[in-house]
Amino acid sequence: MKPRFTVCLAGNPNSGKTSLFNHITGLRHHTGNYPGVTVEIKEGVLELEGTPVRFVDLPGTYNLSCFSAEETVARDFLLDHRPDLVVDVVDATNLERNMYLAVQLMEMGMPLVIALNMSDVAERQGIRIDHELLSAKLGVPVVPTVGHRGRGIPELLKVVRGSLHSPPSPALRINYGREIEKEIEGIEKAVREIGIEGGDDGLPPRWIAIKLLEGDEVLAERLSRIHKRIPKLLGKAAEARKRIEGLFRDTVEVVLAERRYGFISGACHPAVVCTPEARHRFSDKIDVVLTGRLTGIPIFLMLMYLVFTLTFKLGEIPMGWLESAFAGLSSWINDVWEPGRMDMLRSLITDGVISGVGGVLVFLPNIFILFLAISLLEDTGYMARAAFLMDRFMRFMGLQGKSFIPMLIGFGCTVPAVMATRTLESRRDRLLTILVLPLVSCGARLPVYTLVIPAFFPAAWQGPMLWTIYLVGILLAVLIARVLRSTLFKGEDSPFVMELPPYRIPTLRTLFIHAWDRAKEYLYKAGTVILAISVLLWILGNFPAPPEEAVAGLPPERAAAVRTENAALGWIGRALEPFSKPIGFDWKINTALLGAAAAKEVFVAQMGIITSLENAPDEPEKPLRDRLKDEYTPLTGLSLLIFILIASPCIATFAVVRKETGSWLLPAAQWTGLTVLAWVLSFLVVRCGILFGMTT
Amino acid sequence: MTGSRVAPHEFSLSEAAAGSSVVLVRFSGGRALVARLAALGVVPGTSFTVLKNSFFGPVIIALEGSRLMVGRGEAAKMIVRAALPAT
Repeated sequence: MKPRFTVCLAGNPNSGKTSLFNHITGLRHHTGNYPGVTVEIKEGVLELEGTPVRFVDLPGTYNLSCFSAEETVARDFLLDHRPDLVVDVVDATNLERNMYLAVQLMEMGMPLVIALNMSDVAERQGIRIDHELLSAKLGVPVVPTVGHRGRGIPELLKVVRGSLHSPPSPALRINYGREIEKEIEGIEKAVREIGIEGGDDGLPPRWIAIKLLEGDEVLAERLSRIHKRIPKLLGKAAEARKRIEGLFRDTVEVVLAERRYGFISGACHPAVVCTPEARHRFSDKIDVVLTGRLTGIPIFLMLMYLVFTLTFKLGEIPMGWLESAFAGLSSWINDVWEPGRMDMLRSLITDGVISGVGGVLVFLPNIFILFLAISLLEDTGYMARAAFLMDRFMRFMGLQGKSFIPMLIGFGCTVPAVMATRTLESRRDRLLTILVLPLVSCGARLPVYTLVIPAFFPAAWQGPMLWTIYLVGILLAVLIARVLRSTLFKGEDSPFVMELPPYRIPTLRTLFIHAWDRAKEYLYKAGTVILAISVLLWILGNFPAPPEEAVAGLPPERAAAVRTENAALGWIGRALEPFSKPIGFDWKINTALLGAAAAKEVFVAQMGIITSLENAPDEPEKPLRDRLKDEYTPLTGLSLLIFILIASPCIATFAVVRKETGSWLLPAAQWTGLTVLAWVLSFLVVRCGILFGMTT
Repeated sequence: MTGSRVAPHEFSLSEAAAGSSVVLVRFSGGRALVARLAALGVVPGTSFTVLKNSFFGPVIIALEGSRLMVGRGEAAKMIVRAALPAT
């Protein structure tokens, strides 16, 4: 049944909005204790006494201005979808600040219900709120709730249902004072004359007037798409703006914000009995240590080290199980499948699908553990402190502390990392972060490193080599960010203002839900893009097929290698040799790298197939690592490491960058730029190596 | 936009000592900064305590009910004066 009503959940970051949403819809969704965790709009359908109602979780915002991606996303949703009701989730422990968003929603004329969330915590802190009086003062229903425990939700839903069936109340009118009111009225009159309210249906002309007075460019652009006469209106608003700023000797935003807070105080004061705050006392004590000048950074580095050790050491165990499970599956199929009957299909299943998708799935434990650790850091509130600690370093890159979180996630997988950049306010910071993110070595590159490094370097070097490769990536990211910042991405920094939420102890359940939500994205990637690419690669690697007698009687892996050599993939690999010879790669490496363009870890499987060509048929099969060692030199290995680190972000990254930036140019430029850079650096390494008497 | 002239008893937040209580006098920053701070409850006249200011990295301030971290450059654009001691 198609939902008849749409109800949006709005609210500040950390107001418990997502928890409440999870409880309402029963959907398993993520709750975070880091500003701006809900970057995607999530929804679920609930039946309210026989009527299906669509609940939509908007990004957490403090405001509905045009200055941040999240606020714009939230506001656009409200404007485009015109929900039947908005539930504003308000943190009762920080009422007046949270009411700022509520007031904005009311001015927009959104039918509103306020969920007074975390009312239990507020009570414990000695904040008593008379919700009935508050409701009377504001003219909208107010329902106390305790989101994470699901308390107050039946009452909230009852009120929601009642509100859906009653006529909406008129938009809130705040008295901004005589001078400002005069200007608002002037613009409002012009808005009515143009007849915008008919075009952008039902928006209060007064709200449009106020927003234009504030110089809201996003709204101005939106209106310009509908009406021709907007520029004149904008001119009028700009004049009014100037007059007010001259009169009050302050910006319009500040003047209007002061009036809004005046209204909020007037409504809240009579309804709230408050004793001095205690909410932050405990948090402040922890912060003395965790953000301390001497203790902060060491603790941070220790935690990061812990995260990575856990991810890789703990992940190794289930990874081994998965690896043997997939290998077992493959050999089982090969055993029961009679040779000679649809051999191609068998090969597609075992060599294409199982080795391609399985190769990605084995990293699921690592990814899950990494996301679990990141969830823990986020949900406790530590991530915001990490942004504080890293701010200096990120500034050095020409970015800000907040960009650090996507970078950290990037060590797991670039795809969710790119998505996490949505919390960055300025588009420039966002694009810059996205551009350098592939240089942060993702989990999928690790298997390539762990294959290549031990093949060419003595045991004592292996650990430091791995570190160095990660470090080179980070240094390059810094360098490129700095260069881009001072060339293509010039301009003023975006404001860095962030809330430090009080420390909280997350429940195990929310941690697992959170980590699982993200791991799902990774699974999805394995199930779609990688599946498709695996099949495509298999086709390229098997067609045109060699004559039957060339492969007859060969062991399976060797037969596969012969096929690849003769197929399109081998052909392309050879065609690329003029470009790859200077950096030490032969056609076999090229062929495997073509696979890695789809997903980095494919390199390992592809290399496995292709190098089996060198195995004499009657010899026992040598491990891949030994084959590499026999065939290539350490210098080639080094060049390969550099190339894998930098070149061609995988297809999934390309797709997500395209989606997030809304442009084809950017991911294409990123792909090309990084691939060229990789070649140049590999070339330099090879030349230097040759100078020191090494060979490729 | 108001001038960024600073009166003798006024100073920027980036110069405020950790532990001191100050009142915001005005912003000299861009509109995005003003809108964000206003939404977070910081407008001229708001008083708050400086929790952390180590002369590099962001400044952390304590408002009633929340803790905010303000970038160094942003803090330099927030003009404050010392709050009168509570009577």
